[in-house]
Amino acid sequence: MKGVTHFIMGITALTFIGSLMRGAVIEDSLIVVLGGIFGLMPDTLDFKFLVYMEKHDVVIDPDPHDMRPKEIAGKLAEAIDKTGTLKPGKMVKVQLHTLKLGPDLWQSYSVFFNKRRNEVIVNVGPHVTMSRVPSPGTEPPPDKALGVAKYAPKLIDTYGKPSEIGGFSGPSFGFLKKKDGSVEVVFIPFHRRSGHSLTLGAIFALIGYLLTGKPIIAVAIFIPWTFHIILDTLGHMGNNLFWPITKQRTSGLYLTSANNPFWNPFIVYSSMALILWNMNRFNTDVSSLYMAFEPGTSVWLYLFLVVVIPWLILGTIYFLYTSRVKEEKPTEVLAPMAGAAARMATELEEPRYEDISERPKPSLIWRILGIAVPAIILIVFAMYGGGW
Amino acid sequence: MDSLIYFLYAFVGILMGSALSILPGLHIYSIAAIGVFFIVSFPSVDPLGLSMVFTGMLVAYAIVNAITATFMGAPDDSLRYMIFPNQKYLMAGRGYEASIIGGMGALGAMMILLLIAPIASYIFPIFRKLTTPHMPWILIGCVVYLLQTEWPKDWGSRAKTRFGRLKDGWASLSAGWLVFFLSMMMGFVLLNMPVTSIDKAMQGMIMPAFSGFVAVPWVLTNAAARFKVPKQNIKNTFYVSKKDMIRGTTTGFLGGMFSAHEPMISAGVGGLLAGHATVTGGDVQFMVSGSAARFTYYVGAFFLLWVPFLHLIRKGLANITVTVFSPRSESEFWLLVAVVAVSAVIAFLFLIVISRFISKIIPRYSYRKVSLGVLAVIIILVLYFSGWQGLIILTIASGIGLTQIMFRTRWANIMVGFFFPIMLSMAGLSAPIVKMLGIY
Repeated sequence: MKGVTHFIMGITALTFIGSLMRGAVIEDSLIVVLGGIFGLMPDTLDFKFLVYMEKHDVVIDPDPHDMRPKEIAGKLAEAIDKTGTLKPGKMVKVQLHTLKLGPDLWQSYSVFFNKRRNEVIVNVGPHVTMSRVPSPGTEPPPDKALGVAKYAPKLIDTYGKPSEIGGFSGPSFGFLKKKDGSVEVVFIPFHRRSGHSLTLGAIFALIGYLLTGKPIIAVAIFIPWTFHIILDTLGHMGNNLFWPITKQRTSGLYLTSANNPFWNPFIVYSSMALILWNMNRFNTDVSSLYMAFEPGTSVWLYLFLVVVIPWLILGTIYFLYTSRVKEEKPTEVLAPMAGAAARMATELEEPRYEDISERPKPSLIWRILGIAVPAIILIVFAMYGGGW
Repeated sequence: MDSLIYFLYAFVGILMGSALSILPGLHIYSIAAIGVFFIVSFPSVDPLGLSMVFTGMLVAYAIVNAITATFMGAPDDSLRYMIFPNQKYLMAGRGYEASIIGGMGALGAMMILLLIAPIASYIFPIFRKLTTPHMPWILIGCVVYLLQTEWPKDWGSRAKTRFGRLKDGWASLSAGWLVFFLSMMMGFVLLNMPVTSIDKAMQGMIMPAFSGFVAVPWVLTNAAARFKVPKQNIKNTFYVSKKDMIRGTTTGFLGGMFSAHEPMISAGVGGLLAGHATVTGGDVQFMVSGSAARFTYYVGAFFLLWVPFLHLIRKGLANITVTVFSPRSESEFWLLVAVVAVSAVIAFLFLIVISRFISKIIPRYSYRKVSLGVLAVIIILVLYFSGWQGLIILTIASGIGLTQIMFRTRWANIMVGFFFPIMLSMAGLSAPIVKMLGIY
């Protein structure tokens, strides 16, 4: 989920706690903000610290003025082959660098693992801006655009799409040897490991308690942290829940994706609706001047009117739109997308479908639990949080 | 028939606002200062008519000001450097298109404003009642979010060691926080130790500070870059999809309305929060949502003053207006809604005409000379409004703005940093800092 979704979800959880909200109204207490800070903290740790702690076994840093896609594909295939010879549980990490050409111009290239043919495919694209807008006429000639290399082990790639390398920082891949002899592709292997574990959340909560002597601070740290982990679990990439006891990242529940344009706004909107509900609930304790509706109003009726109805309408429109409009033509490019990037998108249509069918499908019970657990936490908070 | 005269008042405002919008570096707060001038100079003017002049000015500013951002490289808030799409479009010969796309975003926001007008008197009082006692943590929460989501930009660090990579990544990150800190210190000084008299605070301190934060660094960088603006393509077909328009407009409206409703939150900050929440992406969506946010921020804040049973005073022009006129009746509210709608359409037409004209002439001039000319205009305006003290403020603020550009940090850090002292004051936390700095 997006950072703002985690941030507001953390705040929402804390607005159910009566003492924090009354403190905010009467004493201008800022403890509620801790919910946002620790709701976002796992990503903060990953992308501000742990990303730099990663040690890479292979670094791929092509010359942007002399792109050799076959060489890049060869290095990746070599890393996969090397992983195949290692003991189960061992990982080879590869860093792919971005290639800067100017203040806002980058040489793009993409990497795809074609499991049907046991091939790494590297495509050199046009020059692009940071927002991936291609420059016209910068695509390489066809003979210099494509590089393919074979690898031996059976590969598991749950991502199933080409990885585009454009602006900012390049991605890293981890190739993990599995017990059955296959090799799993782990996208950005530093992410969602120790920084996304419940144990680290508990450690932070303990530190918060020891520093302040207030149990509520520990709650204000641990609950938003937990919500972050739960929300992330709903996506494709899971977490390493009990690091350092557990070593690997689990698979996600595949219920949504991190950048989903429907679920992110839905969660933000619902969170805001709940925050307003809690404001009304606890403002009443201070002054009726700050009360917008009767405190006895059923929360279920409120949620039905304020959240369910508008989002049912929006959801129907979104569903109809996405089911009818398959692929929208690129509309904002400086020139129509051409060359390697467009070719890659077209040619890989078939393998993409194949990969999607190979994705792990968590059992229904896990999927239901993924939604039920945060709902239960919120219901418990709504029932008892007022007295805390 | 009587109400038609108010549309004429608004038209005068549109003409003034459009003319002012083309002057680079002139922020809306300066327009508010001109409003003060109006009140003093023409005491016999019908107060409601004067409010309609302000409305026309504000709507025109919110729409036509896209021209300075696109063609003259002198933006106001909500715009950012390097990946700012309007300038990319200008360099691709599509400045006219960028300008009109922005205008379409503003028109879209106007339409949403019209749609919510019938329910405005029901929903906004609810938000106001509920959020008023929680304002300190809401505002500080926004600032914390902005600072926490300032991600490292290492540009693919090639450093061999972990510490080397960490250092590369944290260079931009710490620069972003430094910019926030410096801007905050400037805010503490200016807001607690005014260098000009209080009645001239808007034009005397805020205008040079904002011009220094944004416009001066921008024109200095453009002047140093010595690039030539290519021939501009003026055509009536644009690469804009319905999806981009709808997503950009709704996102911009949400962000703009949030910033209009909450004190000290700028359109840029509101737009950024809404953009993250709705997963906005791409240059077109960015341009559309930026313009929609700016329109909603300025016009929406003024709109809130007129909403029956709300009369919320937010942002510069609402503060100026209440000194001469306090809207009370529902008929006045609907008059404002009608004037906003008509003014927006006229201002959009002005935007088309002026953008076409500038698109034709701008490639003939040296962009460096244009930038230096813009710089000269800013300095003259600052000297006129603020005197030499303003020039000092402008210089210091420009230093902070240049730091932001050099390290490509988020521009919103400057804005929220500048107003952070007020947020701390609302939370009762500013006194010790002010005392420590010795500026009380």
